[in-house]
Amino acid sequence: MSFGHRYDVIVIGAGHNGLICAAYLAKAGRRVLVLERRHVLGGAAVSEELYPGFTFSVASYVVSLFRPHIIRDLDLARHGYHVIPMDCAFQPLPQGRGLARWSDPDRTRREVAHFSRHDAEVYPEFSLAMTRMGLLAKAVIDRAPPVLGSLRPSNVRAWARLGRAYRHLGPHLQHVAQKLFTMSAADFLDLWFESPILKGPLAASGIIGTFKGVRTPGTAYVLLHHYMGEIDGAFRSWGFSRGGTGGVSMACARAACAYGAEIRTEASVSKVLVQGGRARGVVLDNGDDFEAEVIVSNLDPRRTLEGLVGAPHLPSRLTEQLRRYKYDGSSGKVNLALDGVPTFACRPSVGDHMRGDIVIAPDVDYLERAYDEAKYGTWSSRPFINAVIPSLTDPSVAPPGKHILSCFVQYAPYHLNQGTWQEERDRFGDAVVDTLASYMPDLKDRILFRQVLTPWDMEQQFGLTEGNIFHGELSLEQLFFQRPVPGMAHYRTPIASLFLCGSGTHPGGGIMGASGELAAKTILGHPT
Amino acid sequence: MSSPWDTIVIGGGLSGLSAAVTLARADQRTLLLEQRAATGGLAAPGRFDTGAVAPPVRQDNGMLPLGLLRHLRLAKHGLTAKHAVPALHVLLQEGGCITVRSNASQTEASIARHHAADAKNYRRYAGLAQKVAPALARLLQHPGPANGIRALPLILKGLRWWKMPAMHELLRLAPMSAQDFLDQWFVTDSLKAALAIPAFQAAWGGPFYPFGALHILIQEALSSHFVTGGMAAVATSLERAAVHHGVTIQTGNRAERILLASDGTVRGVQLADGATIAAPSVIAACSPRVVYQQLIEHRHLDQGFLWQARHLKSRGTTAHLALLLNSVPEALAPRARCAPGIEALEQSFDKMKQGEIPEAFALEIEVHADPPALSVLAHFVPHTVQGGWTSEARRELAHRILAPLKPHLPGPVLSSRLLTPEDLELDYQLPGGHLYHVERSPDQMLAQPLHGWKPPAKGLYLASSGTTHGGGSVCTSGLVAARALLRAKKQSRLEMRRTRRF
Ligand SMILES: Cc1cc2nc3c(=O)[nH]c(=O)nc-3n(C[C@H](O)[C@H](O)[C@H](O)COP(=O)(O)OP(=O)(O)OC[C@H]3O[C@@H](n4cnc5c(N)ncnc54)[C@H](O)[C@@H]3O)c2cc1C
Repeated sequence: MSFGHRYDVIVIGAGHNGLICAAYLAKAGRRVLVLERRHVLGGAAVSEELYPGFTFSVASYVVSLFRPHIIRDLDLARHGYHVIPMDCAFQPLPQGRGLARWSDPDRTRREVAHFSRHDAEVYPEFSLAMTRMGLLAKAVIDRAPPVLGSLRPSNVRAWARLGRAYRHLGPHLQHVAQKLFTMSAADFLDLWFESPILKGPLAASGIIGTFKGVRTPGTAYVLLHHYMGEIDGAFRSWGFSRGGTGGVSMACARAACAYGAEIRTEASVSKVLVQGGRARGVVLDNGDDFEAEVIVSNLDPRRTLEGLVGAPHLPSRLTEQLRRYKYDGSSGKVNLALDGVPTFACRPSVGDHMRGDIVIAPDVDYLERAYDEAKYGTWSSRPFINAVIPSLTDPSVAPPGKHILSCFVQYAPYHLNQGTWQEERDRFGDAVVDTLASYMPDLKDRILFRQVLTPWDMEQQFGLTEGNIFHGELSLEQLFFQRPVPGMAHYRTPIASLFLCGSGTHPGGGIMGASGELAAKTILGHPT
Repeated sequence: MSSPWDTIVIGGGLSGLSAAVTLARADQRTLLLEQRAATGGLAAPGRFDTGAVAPPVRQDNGMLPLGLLRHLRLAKHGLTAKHAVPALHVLLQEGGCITVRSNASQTEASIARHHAADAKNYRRYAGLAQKVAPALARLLQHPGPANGIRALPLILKGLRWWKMPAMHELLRLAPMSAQDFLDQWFVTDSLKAALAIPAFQAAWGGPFYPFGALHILIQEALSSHFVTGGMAAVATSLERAAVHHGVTIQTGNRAERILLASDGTVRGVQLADGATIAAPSVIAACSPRVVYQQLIEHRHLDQGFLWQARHLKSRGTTAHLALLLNSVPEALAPRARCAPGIEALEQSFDKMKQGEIPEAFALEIEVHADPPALSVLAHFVPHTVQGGWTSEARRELAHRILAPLKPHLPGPVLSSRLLTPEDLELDYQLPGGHLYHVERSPDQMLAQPLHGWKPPAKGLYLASSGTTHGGGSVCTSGLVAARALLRAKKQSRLEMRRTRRF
């Protein structure tokens, strides 16, 4: 076999994880080539000008989980990484003024007290408990997961470290931790709160990206994703990346290039060449081929192994495991360009409450109903929506006076029991806009442009299998030492010299960067 | 403090009786208080309007540990274990029936008449249950402090963790929903729905809900020891044993409070009429929610502990319908299951969540011979129905439960007795009306210190379906609690002797 070009490492896919992986490898002196199928970089963390003058965060829209040490290691701030924290989470309601929760605890307490005095009292207690849980989670997400059944000293040490972190919680918080990993979001919140209204937006954090309801066991853990974020060392805050979430990816790309990596766009890999159980190189759609010592894939496990490698090269048990690995995408996205700021009927001023998270989750039952409708294979007619208006915080993304409304929507099941997503797309988009318009009566008059992304579209555009935004469901049996499948949790595959670095590996989805970093360290043989 | 009693057992269900027998056999002076008119709890037979004996709510799920029967010498008191697992008829939605027997090839043949691939896969499915059975049995029937993280070594040992594939297999399977779990093997919808039933009994959730697989596996793995005469026979023999060993049983006597001294040690029990009975230890063999929310004095308990206790979940979703017939329905005997299909059941679950009576239920049927009667457990019945359980609503419920069974009955129904989850709550003191006292959701199975063998008051022990060892495998919790109590007594005697010596 003769190849066109030789590299030390080829990274397939320029999602933020692929780019981070490339940057770490290049920094360590490897000759790295990144191959991206699309014309833009970033994968699901991407900014695109879909409508003249408007820069959309097409898919992911807020940042918080990004690991701070990666910013330092790769000097990302110098390469343009800049996140502006949000101050508020606002839940408009059909009646009354809605509920806004602020980063200022006093202000939050006053707002919550309108709904329940008791809840206002325990809110700080809850936040504290969750922050402690977030610290425990940090011990988990910043390292490769220890596995079962290995007595290697490093593995034993890793378990011991986790044991210590757990013990450090003390008896009460240990119980909280046990519950967090096993309960449903709604049940978990019941331990503290009584107001179904307050519990609405809180529980909603537990279902983001999963195809489960707020009363489904296992969703409490996803809540945690919202309490382990950090921006500039300030715990559990979310923020907007300047210039859209693509800004994060672009910073990573610049860092990678600065360390000497080469990035090619519109270079879609069709095949990983395997010879004698080793990955030798890749072939592109256009027939070009590249050779490398090591291949790293930023694609999800099924796409990588079944799509690019092919079943004949894989042990049959793995093919079976990959078939069972659950995707079940459940989310949609509606991006709107507006010719002005829309007004909320319940709080008409253009105020700070609009600059943060806007959550359409009036109460817990609303969310459960949305799931009940979708679990049989239809999209929710009254969906849960997480909306943001980034242009109020970062004017650079829209022309003066104009705005962007970005809506993350659930549930939109990938597998419809009737019709196709091409047929349903517009009606789904209408349902989302109608739902929003019931809180923002002037919304429809302000829409200049609308993009509706169904899970099917996400699969087509971003290569997200079954439209799963996290490269595979974040459910207990697919996490930690079982992500993506047992026996493959360390970024390695059964093919020597083929590695995974995408969200389908530990610690999972979200703009975190941890998968890319830990994969790079595994390849370099550094301790993880 | 001198008292005529060493221990008071609150609650005369199977757990309370087993605890009392174990204590009395160790020469403990034991008083058992039961609020109902007879002992046996959910295993006690009821009465039809006609006066005939009605089957008890609890059905024999085959999970009575054999060792326990032997330990309590129940054979001497009239209980006989069956040597074969009784056949189970699965009534199919599309007509016909599959009979599941302990002999896998017979079952295979029966399934093959409906679906060839399902028949073949049944063998693999049954094999899997066999593979994990020893581990699960050890875990659930282990009489030790198996709580939370501390259970991990036990689990690993039980699974022989060095056999990694089996271990990973269980870790992968247990969190699955009943649907995902059964889809791996079967196509026939109502077969899947029927096999999924243990999940609905144990925890709150439909067939789409995670961890259903765990309960199906537990049932498949541990269900092997049936007894002649069903649960009522177990209750009768346990009562006989208790009397034989000198337990004093007071029925119709309700404990109102467990009294604690200021240092948090048990002092005794206060009755409904205000009278107090002193005793240095109490085994509370009733719902943990009753213990923590009604019986125990809060001021002596740890706040963090109470916080957890307050939030025990026990949302019952099961109703019981007993039917008096004029002859035994052979098509259903000795036991049967009937469920419309996985998705249909999930829809029933949705209806139930909204407080409506679903169209169809997951049914577990046990046939009784003397007098000819059926015991039917129906899953996905709301605890409180919109508009309340009026006689009309009750009639509607009974009608819908009965509908799929009608074709299999030999004659008319002579009398019936319906218990909604709300009735179960009131009749049997089961907050929420959950048959296992508290839901066996993963969090509550882990939170063992809360309702396990040793709660935070000295001299108080918990034994009931609501504890870790309770639930499916009856009686174990009573034995475990009684043994823990005896061990503690022995230890304190030793300590006393030692201090006296110095
Ligand atoms: C709608 C949506 C909203 C989200 N919201 C948030 C949010 O607000 N906050 C948050 O933290 N996370 C959010 N997420 C999740 C987060 O964006 C993803 O988990 C994360 O971006 C995944 O990064 P990755 O690098 O692992 O993979 P990806 O970003 O999926 O990158 C994979 C890359 O591989 C490329 N590729 C695919 N096939 C080939 C091929 N054959 N050859 C070459 N290249 C190929 C793709 O084009 C893509 O660039 C959201 C995701 C979606 C879809």
